[in-house]
Amino acid sequence: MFRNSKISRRLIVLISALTLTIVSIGGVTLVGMTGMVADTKTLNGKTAEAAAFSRIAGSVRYHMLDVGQELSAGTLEWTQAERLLTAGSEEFERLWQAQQAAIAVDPKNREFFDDTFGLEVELVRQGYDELSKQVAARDIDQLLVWVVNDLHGYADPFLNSADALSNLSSIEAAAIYAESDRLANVYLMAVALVILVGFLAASILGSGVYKSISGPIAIISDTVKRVAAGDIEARTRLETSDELGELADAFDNMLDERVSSMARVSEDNDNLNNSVITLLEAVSDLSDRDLTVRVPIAEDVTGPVADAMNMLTTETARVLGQIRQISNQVADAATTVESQGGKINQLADEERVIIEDTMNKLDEASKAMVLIARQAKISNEIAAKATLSTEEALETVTRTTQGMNEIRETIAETEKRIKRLGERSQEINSVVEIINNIAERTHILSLNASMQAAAAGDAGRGFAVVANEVQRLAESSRDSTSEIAGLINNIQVETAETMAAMNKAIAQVVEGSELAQASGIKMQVTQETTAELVNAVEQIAKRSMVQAQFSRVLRTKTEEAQKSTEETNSEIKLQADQATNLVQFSQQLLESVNVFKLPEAS
Amino acid sequence: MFRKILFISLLVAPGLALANDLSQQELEELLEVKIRFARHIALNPSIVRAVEAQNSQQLALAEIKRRDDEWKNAGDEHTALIKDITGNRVARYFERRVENNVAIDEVFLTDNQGANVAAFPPTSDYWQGDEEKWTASYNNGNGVVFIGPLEFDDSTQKTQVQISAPILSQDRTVGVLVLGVSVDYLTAQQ
Repeated sequence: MFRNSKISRRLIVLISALTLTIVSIGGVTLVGMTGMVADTKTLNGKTAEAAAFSRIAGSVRYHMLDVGQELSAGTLEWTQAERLLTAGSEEFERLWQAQQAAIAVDPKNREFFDDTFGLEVELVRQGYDELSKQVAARDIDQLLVWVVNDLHGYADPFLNSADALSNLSSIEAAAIYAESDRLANVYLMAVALVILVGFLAASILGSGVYKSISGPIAIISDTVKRVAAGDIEARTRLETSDELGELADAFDNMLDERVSSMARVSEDNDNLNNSVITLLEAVSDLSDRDLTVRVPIAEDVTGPVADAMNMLTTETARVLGQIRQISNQVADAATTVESQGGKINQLADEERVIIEDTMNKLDEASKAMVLIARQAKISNEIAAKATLSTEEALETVTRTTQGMNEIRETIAETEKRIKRLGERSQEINSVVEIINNIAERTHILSLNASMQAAAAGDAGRGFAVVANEVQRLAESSRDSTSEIAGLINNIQVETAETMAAMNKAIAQVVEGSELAQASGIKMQVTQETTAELVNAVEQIAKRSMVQAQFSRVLRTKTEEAQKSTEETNSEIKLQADQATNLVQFSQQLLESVNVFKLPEAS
Repeated sequence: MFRKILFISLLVAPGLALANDLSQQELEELLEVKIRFARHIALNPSIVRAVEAQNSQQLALAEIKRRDDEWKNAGDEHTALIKDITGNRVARYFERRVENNVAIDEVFLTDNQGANVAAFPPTSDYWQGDEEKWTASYNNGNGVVFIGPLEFDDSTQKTQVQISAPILSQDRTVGVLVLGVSVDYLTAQQ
C-alpha cells in the first residue's frame, strides 16, 4: 500500500487521519456538550419562569380570589381585605415587573408574553381595582353578586394563562429533554462511530503504513543478515521509489561494488601472501642465526618490511662483527694481562723470598749485634774489671814502689804478690784471650755482617757501614787485645824477670823499684790502654746497640716491605684473577657472537 | 427553540410548502412565537374544558355535516349556531385576542371530530374534520402542531397562514386549535 509515496507523506497521512479522528471526536463531543449545556440552560430558564408565574398566580389567587370568596363567606374583615388587596396589587406589579425584566432581552419572548398575558395582566389590574372599589363600598350583597359574576372574569384569564404556560413549559421541557436525550444518544453514537471509524481508519492506515515501512526494512535487514552470514549474492531488490527504496538501491549497489572490490582484494591478497611467505622464509633463515640472509624486496606493502629487515640484519651483523673483533682484542689483552700478572706474581714471590731471607739475615744480624753488644758489655765489664785489676795492680806496684823498703820484709809477700801478679797476669791473659776471642769473633761477625749487608744490597748499605765499623772496632779490639796480650806477656815476662830478679832483688831493689816504677808506669799505660779498651769496648757496645737498633729499624722496614710486598702480591693475585675472569668473559662473549653466522668482515 | 422547530417541522414535513419569497426556514422562524402562542392557548384550562364539554356531547357525524351545510348556506346572516360559536365565552376570548393582536387574524377551536367549538371571526364552514389543517394536526389522536400552506387572499390582499395546535388533555388529543396568522405583518415586523 502506497509504497511509492515518501514515508514522510505516509506518516503525515496517518497522523492527519488520527488527528482528524481525535478532532472529530472532540468536535462532536464539544457540539453535543454545548447543546446540552444550552438545553440545560433553557430548561432551567423554563423552570424558573414556571416557578415565577406559579408564584404570581398564587399571589393573585391569594390576594384576589380568596379575598373575594372569604369576603363573600364573611370570614374576612373589610379592612383586612383592603390590606390584602393593596398588598396583592403591589406584589402583582412587582412580580410582573420582575418577570418582564427577566425576559426583557429576548424580543420573541416579549412578543410571546404580550400575546399570552398582555390582556390577562390588564384584567388582573382591573380586577384589583374593581374589587377594591367593591370593598370600599362595604356593600356585601353587591360584593357577593360581583364576586359570583365578575371576579373570576378578571382573575381567571391570568390564572388560566399561567396554568397554560406552566403546562406548555412542561411540555416544552419534556420535548427539549427528550430531544436532548435523543441528540445525546445521537452524539454518543456519532462519537462512538467516529471513534470506531477513526480506530478502523487508524488501524488500517497505521497497519498499512507500518507494513509499508516494516516490510522493506525487514527485507533490507534480512539482506544484511544474509550478507553478514556470507551470502555475497544477497540483494534486497526493492523496487519501491520511497526513501527505503533508495536506501535499498544504495545498499545493493554497495554490495555489487563490494563483490567486485572483494575480487580485487582477493587478488591483492594472494600477491601479498606470496610476498609474506618469502618474507617468512627469510625470517626463518634469520632465526637460524644466519645473518648473511638478504630478503628480496617486493613491490607491495611487504617491500618496506623486507627492506627494513635487511637493514636490520646488515646493521646487526656489522655490530656483531665489531663485537667479535673487540672481543678478540679483549681476549688477547686479557691473556696478556694474565700472563703479565703471572710474571709479576712470580717476581713478587721471588722478591718475597728475598725479603724473607733478608729479614732472616737481619734477624740474625740483629741477634748477632745484640750478642756483640752483650759481649761488648761483658767485655766492658771485664775491661772495667781489668781496669780495676790494673788499678789494683798499679796500687800494688805503687805499694811496691812505696814499700820497696819493705821489700825484705815483704819479699816473701812480694814474691807472693808477684806470684799473684803473675796469676793475675794469667787471668788477664785469659781475659785478654777471651777478649781476643771476642774481637776475633766480632771481626768474623762483622765480616759476615758485611757480607750479608752486601748481599742485602741497598737495604744493607747502612748495615754494611755499621758492619764495617764493627769490623774496624773488632780489628782495633783485636789489635788492642793483641796489644794487651803482648803487654800481659811482657808483664809476665817482666814478672818472671822480676821474680828471677828477686833473687837479685835485694841488690837490685832500687833497680827493682825503678823497674817497679817502670812497671807502674806501664801499669798506668796498661790502665790507660785498658781504659781505652774499655772505651773501645764501650764504643763497641754502644755501636752494637746502635747497630742492633738499626737492625731493628731495618727489620721493621723490611717487615713493612714484606707487608707491602704481600699486599702487592695479593693485589697482583686479584688482578690476575680479574684478568682470568676477563679472559673468561671475553671467551663467553666470543662464544655468543660466534653463534651467529656473519658475513666476512671487510 | 430553533431545534424544537426543526423537530416539529421534521414531523410535519408533508404539510410545509415553500412560500412565495420565504424559505421554509424563514417561515418557521417567523412563526415561532405564534406557534408557541397557539400551543399556549391550546393549553388554557378553560379552552380544554370547553372542548371536552362539546366532546362529551358526542355529536353524530351526520349532525355535524348537517350543521356544516347549514353554516355554509347561512351566508351573511348569522344562524343561532353561528352566533353561539362566535359568541360564547371562548369565542369572546378569541375576539379579544384577535383585537389585541395585529398579527392574528382569526382563532377557532374544534372538537375531536373537527366541529367548531368556538371561532372568531366566523369561519367559512362549521366542520374542519375533512381539512388538512385539522386532520394533520389531530393526527388520529396523536396531536401535532401543523403549519398550513401560505394562502393569498385576493380580497384582502393578504398572505395568511394557519397554525393548527392540538388540544391535549391527559395526553390525549381532544381537539384542535387553529390560529390564522398574517404573514405580511410578521414580515413587515422584521
